[in-house]
Amino acid sequence: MTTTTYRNPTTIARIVVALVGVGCLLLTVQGAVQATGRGAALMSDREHDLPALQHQVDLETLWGQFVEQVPTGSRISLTPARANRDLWRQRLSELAVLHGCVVVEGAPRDYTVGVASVQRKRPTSAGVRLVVRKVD
Amino acid sequence: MDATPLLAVLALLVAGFPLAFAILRSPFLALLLAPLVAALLSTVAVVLMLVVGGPLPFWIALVVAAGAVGAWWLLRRPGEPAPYGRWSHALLIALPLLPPCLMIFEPAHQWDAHSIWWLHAGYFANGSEYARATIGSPAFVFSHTDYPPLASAPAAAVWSVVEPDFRTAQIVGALVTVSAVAMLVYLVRRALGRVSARVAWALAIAVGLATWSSVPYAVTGGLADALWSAAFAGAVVALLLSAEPLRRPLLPLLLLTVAALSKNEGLIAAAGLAVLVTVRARADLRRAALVWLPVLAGGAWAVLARLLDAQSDITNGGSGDRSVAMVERFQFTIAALWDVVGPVLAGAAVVALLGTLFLRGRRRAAGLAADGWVWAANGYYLAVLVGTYLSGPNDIEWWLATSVHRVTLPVLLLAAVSLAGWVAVAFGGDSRADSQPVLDQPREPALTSATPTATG
Repeated sequence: MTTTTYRNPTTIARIVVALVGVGCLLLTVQGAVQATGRGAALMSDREHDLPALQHQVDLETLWGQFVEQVPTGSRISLTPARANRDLWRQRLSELAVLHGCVVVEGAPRDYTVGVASVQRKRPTSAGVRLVVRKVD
Repeated sequence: MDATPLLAVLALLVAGFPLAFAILRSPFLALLLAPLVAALLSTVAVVLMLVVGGPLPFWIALVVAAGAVGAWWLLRRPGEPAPYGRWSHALLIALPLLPPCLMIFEPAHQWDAHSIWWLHAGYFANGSEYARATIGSPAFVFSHTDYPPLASAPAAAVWSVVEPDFRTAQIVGALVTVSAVAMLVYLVRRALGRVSARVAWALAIAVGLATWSSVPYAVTGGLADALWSAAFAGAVVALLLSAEPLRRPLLPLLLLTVAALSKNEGLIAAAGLAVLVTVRARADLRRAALVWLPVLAGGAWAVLARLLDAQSDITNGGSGDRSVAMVERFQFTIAALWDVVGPVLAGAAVVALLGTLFLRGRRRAAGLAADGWVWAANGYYLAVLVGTYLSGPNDIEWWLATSVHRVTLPVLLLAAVSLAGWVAVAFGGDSRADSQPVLDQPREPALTSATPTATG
């Protein structure tokens, strides 16, 4: 004698909802797994993301030179860089704000400030320097 | 080793703790919420500084003191500790979020972090006159000076007393964002209060980890997207997923205020959520009106920014590519959205459809509201997003490539919230309300929304 087992539709729905739901949630958690792996790599190897590190080094170098060479409260105008014009205009504007300087687009101004590229001595040394000129 | 980041973290915890404790009445949960409260307090200080004038440290001191007085007043009122407030619960929330936070070792190089959020922190730190002049300066149009101040305000508070450095700003931003994610995890766990503890914690943690789903650096890179998205999703969970949305209104209102004051999209999303909550709680409109306070706060910032001559690239137009036909913009937008959120959204829709057809009774027994509310919030935000991409001034391909992964984060989080609800229901044993799942906390008493003792 054979017996036929009928599954309740609700039970089947529960199984499908659980499987598809958990699968989708695992898809969304994947990013956290990747972030963990990348973060661990960055922690153990400072140069894991070399372009990002170089940008940070460049910016910190420019910040140090900005603080040294441009007095707080100065009116400055920005000289367009030869390469990465938008990047350096925005970063110099940021440094000016952090140092309490006023960015002006014409006269009167106290300094012109720009960025020049330099050869990196090492992969993690600065590839830029600040060019500051006092306006008489 | 520079101690500034450590001191900044301690300052945020100390500044935010009294009010966080008054809201949650659990010292362990309050530690998780404190950075977010501190960010909100520093935002209030920034706004007062811009309106009244003066240096930022003065307003920070005044607002933190006012926050402590407010905490004392709240604690004098009768209240009950928030559920799941033991140290073990706080660890269950915080520990799973730590591994992806290893991304904090990434150099502080994200474009928007520098060009928008830290630049704003810089001018806020320089005092009212400087900040007002910079917000309205044509030289800073690229920096979206109309954007709300919450993501910048905590770093500004720190930089107003110590020399600016990007590492500190990155760590402060990450701490505030993780605080929002922790509250999302907590609120999902609380919403799943009638489900087996193991299942509920696993699902709550999964929803929190979804914050990293599309952008690995979202939490630690110094951006505002993960901050407002997690805060918004937390508010949605409390106000649309829970059976009694306004029983403990302070925490969801705080999260909604954070969303509205962190990014322009957050304000638009908060307004949509306020409409949905008003409709849902129409039987008690006086109480439902509370949900419009965060929208009011976000709107007040928008007015202030316009008064200070801030310019918005979206509303002002610009050098965008207008030659591309609207149909083509729409196709690009849909294709990009599908790439980022399509598979998860489709899976969540299938789950929601099956659940609605077969598991509605179990959902009611699990104490969860209808899933349609969460989908309504998600659909509204998605529609706003598509509309913005269609009508915005920027070259559509460049715009999508540089933003779609970040701005779709709320869509993914709300899809994860919907999924978590249905998976909890599917795993939830039989459909009777009196079933006995494994609980790690006494069930909350079934109080009405007008209960005066609930604060958190």
